[in-house]
Amino acid sequence: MIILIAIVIGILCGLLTDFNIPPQYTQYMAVAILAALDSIFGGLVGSLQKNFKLDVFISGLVTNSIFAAFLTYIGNKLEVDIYMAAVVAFGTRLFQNFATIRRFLLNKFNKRGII
Amino acid sequence: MKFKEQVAIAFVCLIVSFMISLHFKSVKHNKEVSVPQNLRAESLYAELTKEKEKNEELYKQILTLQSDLEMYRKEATDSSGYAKVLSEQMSRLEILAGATPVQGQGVIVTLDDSKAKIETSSILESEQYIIHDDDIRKVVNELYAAGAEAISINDDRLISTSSIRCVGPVVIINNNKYAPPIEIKAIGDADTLEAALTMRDGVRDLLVNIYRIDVTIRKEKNIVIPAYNGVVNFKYASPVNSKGE
Repeated sequence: MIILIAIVIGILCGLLTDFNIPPQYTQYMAVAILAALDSIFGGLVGSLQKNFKLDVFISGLVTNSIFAAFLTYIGNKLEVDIYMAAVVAFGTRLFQNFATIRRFLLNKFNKRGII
Repeated sequence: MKFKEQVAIAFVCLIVSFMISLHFKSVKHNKEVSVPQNLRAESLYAELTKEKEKNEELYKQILTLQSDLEMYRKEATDSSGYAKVLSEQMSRLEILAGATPVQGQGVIVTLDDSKAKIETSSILESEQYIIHDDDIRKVVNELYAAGAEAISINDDRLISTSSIRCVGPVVIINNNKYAPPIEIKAIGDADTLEAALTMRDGVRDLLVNIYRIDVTIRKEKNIVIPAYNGVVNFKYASPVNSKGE
């Protein structure tokens, strides 16, 4: 519930902000969003499996975002798409975490005998 | 799910949704900004077409006004002696200003890019062998010095504010573009004009021997030079008061 409210508030804030990211920085923003999404899914899996650790969650979020942006910066300087590494890594993890959540929920419902 | 975990994840969700919506908005905005830049060339072209149409319109206006003027002058000449003197003076000034077509003996000079094969691969060197503004200026200058009274280049009358310059591969004269061959008509004493151009180590020798430009000079009994077909507006120059200051 809190999560949904937070998402709605975030979207509203984003739409109402009278500020646009300059075009040259949108790539960094995209990679940072991906890193943060990865952290969220990681956190969800952790909390579902009862091994959620706040310090791991927060540090992972911050360092992943910064490192992904840094990789993008280096890639831009070297004219090699290094940010693809971040995209692939985070993308793979996102799907893995999503699969874990799906299995977890299916198991839960199966035990209850809903399906 | 513990409350602490929920708050932490919710907090990050807030940040991420904020970032995502901001990002969406920015990408959309940036696209909208960049589109006008692409449209710029198109709109400029449309503007150019519009200006050209306007130009055409104004040119027609000039023609009608000129015929009106002709009519008024005719009326004035018929009416009084003073007006007659004035109109004579005016027709002289019109020749000087290039506002009226003139005819008389003179020479026709044709300049064309070199047809001879030039054995050089350097672009810099081969550029010397095509016609430049400077070549035309040399001829025109020589003709004026030899007493030419009216000169036109490709039927574009040279007047006191005319300029001759190169822009890319063409020569711009009175804001009109011309590519070789360039035909320069000059009215004046035909023999003098021809002699001025063909004198040894003169303009023709320079152009033919050094720059390898094709130069032909033709004397004619009757050359017609058209009027200047543009408009001259004097924005800054005004006559000095005759009483003296």
